[in-house]
Amino acid sequence: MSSFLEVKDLSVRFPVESGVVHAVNGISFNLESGKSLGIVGESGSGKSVTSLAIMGLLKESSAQISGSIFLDGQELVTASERDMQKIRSTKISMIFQDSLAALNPYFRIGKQIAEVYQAHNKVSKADAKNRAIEMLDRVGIPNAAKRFSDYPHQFSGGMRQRAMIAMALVCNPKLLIADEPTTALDVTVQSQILELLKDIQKEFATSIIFITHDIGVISEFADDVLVMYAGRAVEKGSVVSVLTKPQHPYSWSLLSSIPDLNSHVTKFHSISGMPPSMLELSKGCAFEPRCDFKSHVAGGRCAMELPDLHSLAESQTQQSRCFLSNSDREELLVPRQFLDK
Amino acid sequence: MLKYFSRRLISALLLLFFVIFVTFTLFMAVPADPARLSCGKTCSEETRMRIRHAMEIDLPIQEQYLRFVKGIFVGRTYNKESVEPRKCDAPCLGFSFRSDEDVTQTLLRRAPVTFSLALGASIIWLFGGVLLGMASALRRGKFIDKAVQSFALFFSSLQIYLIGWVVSLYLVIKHHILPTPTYVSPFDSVTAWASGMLLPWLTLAFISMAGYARLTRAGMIETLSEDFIRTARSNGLTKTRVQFRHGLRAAITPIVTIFGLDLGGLLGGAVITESTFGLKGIGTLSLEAVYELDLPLIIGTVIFGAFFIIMANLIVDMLYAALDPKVRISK
Amino acid sequence: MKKNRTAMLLAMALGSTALVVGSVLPAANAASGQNAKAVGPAPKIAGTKIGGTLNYTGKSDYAHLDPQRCYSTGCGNFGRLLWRTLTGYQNVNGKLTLVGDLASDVGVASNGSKTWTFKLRPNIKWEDGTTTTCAELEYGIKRSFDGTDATSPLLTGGISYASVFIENKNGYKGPYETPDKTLSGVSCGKSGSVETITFNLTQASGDFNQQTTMGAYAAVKPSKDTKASYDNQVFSNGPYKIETRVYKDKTIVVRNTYWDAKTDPIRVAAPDKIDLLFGQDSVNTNNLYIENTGRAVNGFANGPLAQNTSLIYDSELDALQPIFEKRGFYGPSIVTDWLAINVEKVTDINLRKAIQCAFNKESARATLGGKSLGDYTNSLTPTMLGGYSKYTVCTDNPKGDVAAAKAYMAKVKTNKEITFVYSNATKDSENMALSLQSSLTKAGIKVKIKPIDSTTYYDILEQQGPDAPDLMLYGWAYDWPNASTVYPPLFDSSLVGASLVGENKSRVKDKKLDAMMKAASAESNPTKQAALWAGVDKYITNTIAAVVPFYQGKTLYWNGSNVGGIYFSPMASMDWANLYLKDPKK
Repeated sequence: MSSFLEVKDLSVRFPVESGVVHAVNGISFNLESGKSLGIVGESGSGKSVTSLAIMGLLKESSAQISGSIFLDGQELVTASERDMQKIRSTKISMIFQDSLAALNPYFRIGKQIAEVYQAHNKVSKADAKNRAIEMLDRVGIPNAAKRFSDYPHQFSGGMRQRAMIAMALVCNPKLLIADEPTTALDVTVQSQILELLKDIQKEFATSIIFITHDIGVISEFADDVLVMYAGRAVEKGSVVSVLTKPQHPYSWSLLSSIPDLNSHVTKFHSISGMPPSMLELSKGCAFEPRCDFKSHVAGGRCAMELPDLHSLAESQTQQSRCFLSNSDREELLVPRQFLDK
Repeated sequence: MLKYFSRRLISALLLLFFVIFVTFTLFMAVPADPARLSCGKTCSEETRMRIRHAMEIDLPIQEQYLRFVKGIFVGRTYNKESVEPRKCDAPCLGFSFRSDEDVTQTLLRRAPVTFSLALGASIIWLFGGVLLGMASALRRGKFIDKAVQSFALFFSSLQIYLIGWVVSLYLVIKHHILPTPTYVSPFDSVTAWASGMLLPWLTLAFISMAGYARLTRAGMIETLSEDFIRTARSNGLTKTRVQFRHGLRAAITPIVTIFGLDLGGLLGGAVITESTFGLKGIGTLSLEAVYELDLPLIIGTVIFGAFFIIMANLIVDMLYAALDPKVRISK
Repeated sequence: MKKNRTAMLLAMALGSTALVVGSVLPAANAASGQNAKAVGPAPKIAGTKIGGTLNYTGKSDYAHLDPQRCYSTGCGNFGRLLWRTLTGYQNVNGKLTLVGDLASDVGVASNGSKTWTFKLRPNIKWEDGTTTTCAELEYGIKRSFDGTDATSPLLTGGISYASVFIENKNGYKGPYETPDKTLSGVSCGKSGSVETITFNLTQASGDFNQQTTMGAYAAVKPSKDTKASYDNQVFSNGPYKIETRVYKDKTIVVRNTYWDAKTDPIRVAAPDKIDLLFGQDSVNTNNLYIENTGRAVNGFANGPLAQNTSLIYDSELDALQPIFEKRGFYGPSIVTDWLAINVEKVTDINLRKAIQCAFNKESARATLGGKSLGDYTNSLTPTMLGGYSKYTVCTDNPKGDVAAAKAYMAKVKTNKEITFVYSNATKDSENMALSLQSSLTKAGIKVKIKPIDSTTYYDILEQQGPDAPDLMLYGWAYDWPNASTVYPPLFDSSLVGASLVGENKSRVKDKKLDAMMKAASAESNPTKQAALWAGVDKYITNTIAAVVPFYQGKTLYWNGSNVGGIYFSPMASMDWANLYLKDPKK
């Protein structure tokens, strides 16, 4: 049985003055209906570009896209802009990090939501308005009927993010992509939003792709996780397995960077070095320059050869892209025990 | 909002009075004597003084100014003590030193020409400029963008006083493509009015359109890179809707404000356009008035122009508040 | 009258010009004829057709159509279509004859030319059908007295000849100030069944009957006198009446149906309607006429010269020459220009003569526009007037004669520095000043040039005092074709006051000259008078060296291919009397 969303070998390249930016390089993943996937990575890892590619928002830019994306059987990379307009908001929807910038400051929130509903459904203005108020209420905005007429700048950050969620869900899409939706919010509001998303998922069986650089948030929310580095997937698997037994040095580094409130560590672990320039595609492993464990691989193989994405055993679904031996991994990549929380 | 408006209105009126006063003072500083022009051959000193008295320019400047301002509100009588005092109804702007015609009447007679020119041309350049600018922004880098940019550069470098003669010569005189520019009241014949104004409208509009195209293009390019445009697209809205409703709306504020100011200035009289095409509007009137040292007419045209410019500023301020919700709604 | 900015503003832009058919120059004394028995209709040129609409296109409107306020020849020549004056000029093929207009004769002088009596024509009708009476003519003349001595002058702008020449024993101050007083110098009477009008003058005037061609001597119906607004509402007893007049916009005149051609020896009045359009850009108008299309075909307009704002440079002139020959007139104007030397400050006659010799007319003319500016002249009088004669002022060479100048300079006792003033209005004036400075300096004359702000320039020229200018460019245009409107207004010693000098820019106070001018003014025989004026001219240039004659101006009018009947008129400007449309149906 095919998955609800199948991304196969997706690559996105942007021609720029100084060459070509290899934003996404051969990403593949699946997502089942009603499940959530967390995509984790630093800025520049290609996670946002992946989501834009799924939305088809790169279609009329200079981006060169190869590979395929199947959403509920429909191939999206070769779909036309008109086709994409039909499925945007109705089948897939997206919410963004900066809710103030992402909403049109010149129009009232309610009208913006109603507009989306009317664009995809033949309904009267009054019906669209009612639907919008209903959605605002559903996402937990008090006094929804009055707030329908407010402008984006009149909402607090958290409320505004909820409104954006309302707008994204007004046409009942099956897949919601959330690109760092909580990054700009403080912690309490953050957890409220996450709760809201979980509710939505339960109620509407929506699949959610949650993009973040914060691996801690993933632990709260997602079923599966995809770790990206330099446009490639370096590890993927269930949240439980990746976060308890990371198989890739990068995932391990991310996990290790999280301060543990319970320990008395005075020095924090950080990943040395800088993310690579995306103008050149590395011959070998892109993480190699910053990897603490490359010495454990003989002959400098890491720099010369690109590891495949593979699982360590037949039965395992968790995969990683690394030359370290199983035993080395067992020994070295021991993460913090924070999953008990 | 109302309080803001009334405060601005009062300061606008004060500014208008100040402008009148400055015009008065500057005129008085000119050493030439307007009475001399009215005087005629072998103007004797005696006659000249008589004329100065009749024009009431032998009074001290403050007195002249006060009488003038009073005349605006309640009317004025010149030379009360003479055999033939002249009455001038409110709003009295005096009598022309040259033609003795009531200045207010002269302004009212000529204003429709200027208004017609201003409104027609400005509508053409607003719509034309914005559409061209949008086309340019949406097809950035492509042929149409380059074409519009070249057009903009070319036309904005042109001057009316040159292009007016050239188009008159080729389009009107030599090849009879467009009718001779002339003003006919729209109440007499709308077609005659429109065809008579067509050449001045197009000439003025093409030159101004260029700036608006550039402004719109820049505004649109900036707006189209905004996040909320991406959001609108990701919500599946059609391209037209995204570009016009979301894009243009965001970019329109500076365009509308500049348009308001341009139109305000133009309503005061487009001197060069009017004289190039032989239109008898406020612009040519003010030019003649200055040349002939006709103080009442100069002041009349200055007030006329200042009024519209000041009002345009006021309206544009209000409009800015209306267009930008962040300004309008105080938290 | 003044050829200066003031005059320009008083619609001189409409021309103070003479017209020439082809390149035929008029003989001097062209205006010497008189016909005491002239009757209408006015002689028609061959080819004249009646009917159609003639048009005129120009930049400036007439400031005044009110006859008693009309000063320039522009308003006069058009105005004469609306009002008839006591006498007028009949123009046949460029030759002027003085005839009676409201009068049936050309007047009879008596009492040493201090009394003049005219018989009046009986059937001159106003536009409402009523007959023009002597009382109405008298009323019109009386309006000239308004403003010269009143508490609030209403009718400004007219000539002051009437109020100067006509006796006023009762202190008459015009019909508004002193409606109950009489003007002693004018009286109406009867001779048999016709009305007569008699003038008693303050001084002998041999050409008074030429003065009466001016607007001051037009009739005005008292009930139609709208005073200051009469300019736009002239009530007509001429061949046309006003249908529409919007000042500085347009004027349309149509036939006065009561006008009888048989009473009018002057005006042919061929077109049915005349449509004048003002405020038109001159470049567009020029192009219209060059192309001979649209409005131009049935019309005429000032060419680029007569507008006094842009002169044609020699190269353009050559290119336009063929068009002028087909559809225009390019000929001498009634304007002359000269350098006025302030004899009160430049007291040494040898220095003045040196200036006359050293001045390089050619280079000065080049800075001001070249050939189209005018033709070199030796006289203050234009060529078409009695009083003009050709003779030499130091040298006939337009470049001047430096050697002769130096010879005079050798006799100069104190070589004081001379200040030449000029208006800063245009760059051309500055260039001319520099050219003058350069040519005079070559002869050893010390010259300083001083720009004056254009708004006060004419005031400065006539002011006395230590800053009074030594040397300046000045010009003049006559009021009627007689040198009596040239020399006395410019050189009468009474003009020179302690603070102002009026038109006497050379500050000449010469008793002998006064006497010569008085004698010439009083002489009623035109030929004798012309000789006397010529003598006056020579006296001013060669005897007292008060001026350096420079040029006589040029004029240009365009006309469309369908317009005929334009003739040279020493009466200056467009002579509307003979104009017709070759095909009235076009």
